Amino acid sequence: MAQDDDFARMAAALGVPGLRYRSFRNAPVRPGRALAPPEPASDLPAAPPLPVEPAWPGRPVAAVAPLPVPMPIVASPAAAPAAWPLLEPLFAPPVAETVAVGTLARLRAAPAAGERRPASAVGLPDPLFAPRPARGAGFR
Amino acid sequence: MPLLCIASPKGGVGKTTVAANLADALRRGGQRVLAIDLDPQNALRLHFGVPLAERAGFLAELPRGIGWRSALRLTPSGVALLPFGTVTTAEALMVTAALEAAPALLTGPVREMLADPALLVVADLPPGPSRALELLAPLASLVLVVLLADAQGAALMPEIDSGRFLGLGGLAGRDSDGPRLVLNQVDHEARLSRTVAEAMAQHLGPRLLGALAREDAVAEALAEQRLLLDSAPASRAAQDLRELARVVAAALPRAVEPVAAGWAR
Repeated sequence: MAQDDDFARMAAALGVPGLRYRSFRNAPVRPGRALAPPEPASDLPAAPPLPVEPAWPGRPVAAVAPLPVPMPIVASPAAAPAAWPLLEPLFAPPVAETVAVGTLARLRAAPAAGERRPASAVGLPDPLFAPRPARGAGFR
Repeated sequence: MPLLCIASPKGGVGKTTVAANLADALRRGGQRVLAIDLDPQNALRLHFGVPLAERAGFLAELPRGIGWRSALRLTPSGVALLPFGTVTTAEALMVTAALEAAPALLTGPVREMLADPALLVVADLPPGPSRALELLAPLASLVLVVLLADAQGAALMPEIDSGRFLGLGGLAGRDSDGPRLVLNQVDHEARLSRTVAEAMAQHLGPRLLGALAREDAVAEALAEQRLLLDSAPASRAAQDLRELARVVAAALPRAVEPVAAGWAR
C-alpha cells in the first residue's frame, strides 16, 4: 500500500526501521484505492507480514522490519489519570446545595431600616436637621 | 378537615405556583391533600402534569351541577386535583353568576370535602377580591396571601394593617387575626426586592409565614410540568418551600389519619 511506502521512507529517513504504518481501522483517504480489510484487534503481538506493493516507478521498496512486540499495557481504569480535569465538575454527580438559612430567616436577620445608616453618615450631623445657633448668637 | 385558601391581591405573583408546590410539600409531609382550582385560568393542573389538552374540570361544570367527585383526579404526585376546567370568557362569567345566585353550588361540595377528617383541602383562589374568596374564607382555617417584594407589595401594607385587605377584614373566619402572608420571588441580589422584603418582614412579623427565593428552577419546574421538590429538591426555593410547608402545617388543625379509602365520606 502507498501508506506503507510512505512509512518505509520515513522510517529510513529517521533511522527507525521498526516504524510501521497501522491503519487502526480507519478508511484510507486516498481516492481510487480499495478499502483494506480492517485489522483484527488481536494482531498487535504477531502482525502478519505486510503485503508488498509495487513502489513508485524508479524508487526501490524500502526494507520493512517486523514490528517489535509491544509491552502489554497494565493499567486499571480507576488508576488512570483524569484526561481533562477541568471538565470533571460537569460530570460530577450533583451535590445538594447546603444553605445555612432560608430566605425568611435571612430577611428577619437583616437589621431594621433605622439601624442601618451608611457608615459615611455616622457622626456627621445632617445639615438640614442639625441644631442651629440662636439668632444673633455669633454677634455677642 | 382543614381548608387552606391561597389568594393574591393581583395576578402574576406566583399564587398558583405557590399553591401547587405547597400542596405537594404538605402531601410529602404526610397529609392527604386535595387541591381545588378556583381560578378560571385553569393553570393549577399544569403543575401536576395534567396535559394541556385535558379540558375537563369542576368549576367549569358547576352551573350544570356536576358532582365534584366525578371531576376528581389523582395526580402522580399523590395530590388529588379538582381542575377548574377550560372555559371561555362567557363561561367564566356564567360560573361567577352561578356562584352569586347559588353560593351552595360551591360551599356545599367544599363542606363535603371538609367533612373528611383526614383531608386537607388547598384552594387556589382567583387573583384579587372574588366571590369564591368571600364564600370560602369563612370556612378556611388559614388564608395565605401571596405577595411580591416590590413597590406594589409595599404599598399594600396599610391595607393589610387596616383589615380591609381583599375584603377579608370583615369576614368572620376561623382565622380571626386576618390573613397570613408569604413573599414570593425574593431576590437578594436585587436592591429593591431585598429592601422591600426586609422591610415587610420587619413590619409583618409573625403574620409573614414564609418567603420564597426567586430562582430559575421554579419556572423551569413548570416548564417540565413537574413540581419543584421533584425537579430541583436542592434549590434554595425548595428549601424555602419546605420551611413554609412546615410552618403552614403547624398553623393548621392536624387532619386525622385516614380510616377508609376514598377522598371523602
